[in-house]
Amino acid sequence: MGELRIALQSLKMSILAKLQYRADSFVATLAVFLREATGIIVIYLALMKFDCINEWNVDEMLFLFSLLFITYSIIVVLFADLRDFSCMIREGRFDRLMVRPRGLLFQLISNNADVIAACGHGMLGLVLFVVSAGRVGIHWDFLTVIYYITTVVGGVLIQGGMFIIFSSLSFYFVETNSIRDIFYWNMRRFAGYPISIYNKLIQVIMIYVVPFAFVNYFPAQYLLRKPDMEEYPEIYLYIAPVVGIVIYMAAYVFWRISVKNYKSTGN
Amino acid sequence: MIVVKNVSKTLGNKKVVDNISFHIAPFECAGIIGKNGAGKTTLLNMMSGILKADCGFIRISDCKDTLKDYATLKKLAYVSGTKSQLWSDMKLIYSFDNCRKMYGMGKHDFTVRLGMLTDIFDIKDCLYKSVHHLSLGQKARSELVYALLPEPEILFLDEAMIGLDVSVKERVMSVINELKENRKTTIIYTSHNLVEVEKLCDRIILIDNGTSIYDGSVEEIMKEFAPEYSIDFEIDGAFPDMEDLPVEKYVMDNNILSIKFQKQKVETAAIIRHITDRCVIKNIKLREPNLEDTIKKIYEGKGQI
Repeated sequence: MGELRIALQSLKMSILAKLQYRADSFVATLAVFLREATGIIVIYLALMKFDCINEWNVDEMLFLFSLLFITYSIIVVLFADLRDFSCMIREGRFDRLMVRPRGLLFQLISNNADVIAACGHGMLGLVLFVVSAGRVGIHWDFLTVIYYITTVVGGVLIQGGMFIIFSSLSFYFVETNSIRDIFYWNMRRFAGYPISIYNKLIQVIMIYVVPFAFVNYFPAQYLLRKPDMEEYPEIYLYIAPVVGIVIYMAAYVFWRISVKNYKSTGN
Repeated sequence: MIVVKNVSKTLGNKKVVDNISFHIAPFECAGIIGKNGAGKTTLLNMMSGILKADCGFIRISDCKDTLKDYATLKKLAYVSGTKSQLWSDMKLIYSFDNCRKMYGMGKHDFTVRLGMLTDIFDIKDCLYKSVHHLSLGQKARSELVYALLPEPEILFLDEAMIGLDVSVKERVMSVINELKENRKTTIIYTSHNLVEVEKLCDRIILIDNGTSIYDGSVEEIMKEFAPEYSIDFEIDGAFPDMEDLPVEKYVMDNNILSIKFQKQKVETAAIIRHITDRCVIKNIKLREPNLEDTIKKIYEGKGQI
C-alpha cells in the first residue's frame, strides 16, 4: 500500500514539475510528437507507392506502429530512470537510492516519469491506432479488447525487462548506451514492419533475442490473420504476456545478481 | 553497533581500502579523516551498504547486508555534501513528504518533527521554494533535515558541511552535538576540515592510502603526537638567560624570543614567569597546536608510527 502511494506521489511530482513551465512542456511534447510523426509520414508516403508488402497494406502497418508507440508511452512513465540509468550512475544519484528502506527497482520504477515523451508518443500511438484500427477490419468484442490489453501489458513487460537488462550491464561496463542503441533502438526500427519481410537471421533475433515480434507483430497477427503467419507456430499468437513475464523475471534475477557489482562514483 | 573487520576494496586497479578494522560503539561520534582520495568515502559507502567489500565483513547492529534489510536501512541516514537527495526542480516540501512516505512516518509525527527541524536549521521559509532556487547553504541544511526527519540511529555525514558559512556551521555543529549528547544517534563523520572534527568527534580514525594509521580519541592523539607549543616574547632590552629552562629550542631574533616547548615537560606559566622575572616584555603570543598540526606531524613522520 505504502509502495503504491509513493509511486502515485512521484508520478504527481513528475507531472507537476512539467506543469511549472507549461509553454515549455507543451512545445517539447509537440516536438516529440512531430519528430516521431515525421518518421511515420515519410514511411506512409513511401508505402503509398506499393499496394502492400507481404500482403500487409499501409493501414495494417500503421497498426503495427501504433502498438510500438502505445507501449513505449507507458514504458517511459515506468522505466524512465532505467532508460537513463547510466546517466544516473554517473551523477551518483543511484547511491542515494541504496540507503533508502525500499526496493531498488521499485524506487527506480516509481521515481521518475518522462511525462513529455509519454504524452508525445502516447498521442501519436492513439492517432495511429484510431486511424488504422477502423480500417483494418478488426472485429472488436470483449475478447479482443481483453486480448489487446494483455498484449500492451506484455509489450510493456518485454521492453521494460530489456531496459532492466541494459541497466544491469551498467554494473559491469561504464558505457552501455551503445549496446542499448543497437539492441533496442535499431531493433525497434525493424519492428515497424511485418518481420516476415526480413531474412531469417533478423527474424530469429526479433523473435528469440530481442523479442519485439511479441510486442506488435504476433498480436497484430492475432487480430488481422495475415497469410504470412503460416511460417510461425500458431502458439506465438497467444503468448505475448507470457513472454513478457518470463523476460521481466529473467531481467529481475539478472539485476539482483548484477547490483552486487555496483561501484559507486566517489566524490 | 558497527563492526568493520579486515575490510578491503579495490576499485579499478587501485586498492582504495586496505585491510581496515574497527568497532564503533553505540552513540559514539567517530571522525574518519584523511587526505583527498585516502578512501574515506569508499569506507563510508561500504559501511552504509552502497558498496560491497571485496573481503572482510561489515556489520551494522546484527545486519550483514543492508541491501535487502529494510529494517536496518530505516535506521540509517547518509548525508553527502556532493550527492543530493532532494528533487531538484520541485518545492522542497515535496522532497520531505516523499521522505515521510519512504520511511513510513505518521502524518502527525512528521509535521511536529519537520516543524522542529526547520526551526533549528532555519529553513522554514524555503519549504515552498523550488529546490534549485535555494542557495548552497540552504540546500546543505535541507539535506540534513531530510536525513534527520526519520530519526536515524546511525548518521553518516560525508563532507556534509561543504558550502556552509561559519554561523550556519556553528548551528549545525551544535545540533550534531546535541544528538550526540542525548545519546540517540551514532555519528560517523568524514571531513578534511579538522577544526570541525576536533570540535565534534570523540574519536578519530585517521586513514592514509587506504589503511588506518591512527585510531583513538582526540585527547589521546593530541597528547601523544601534538607538536610543540610555541610562545613568542617581544622583549625590550637584553635577552634573558635560558639555561635552566627545560625547553626544546629557542631562537632570538631582533627583539623577538621564540620558544618551542612540550607541555608535558614544562608549564606555560613557568616559562612566562621565568622570562618576566628577567626582562621587560612588550608582547606575548602563545600558539597551541591544534588537531591539524598534530595530523600534519603524523603524516610527516609516518614511518615511526
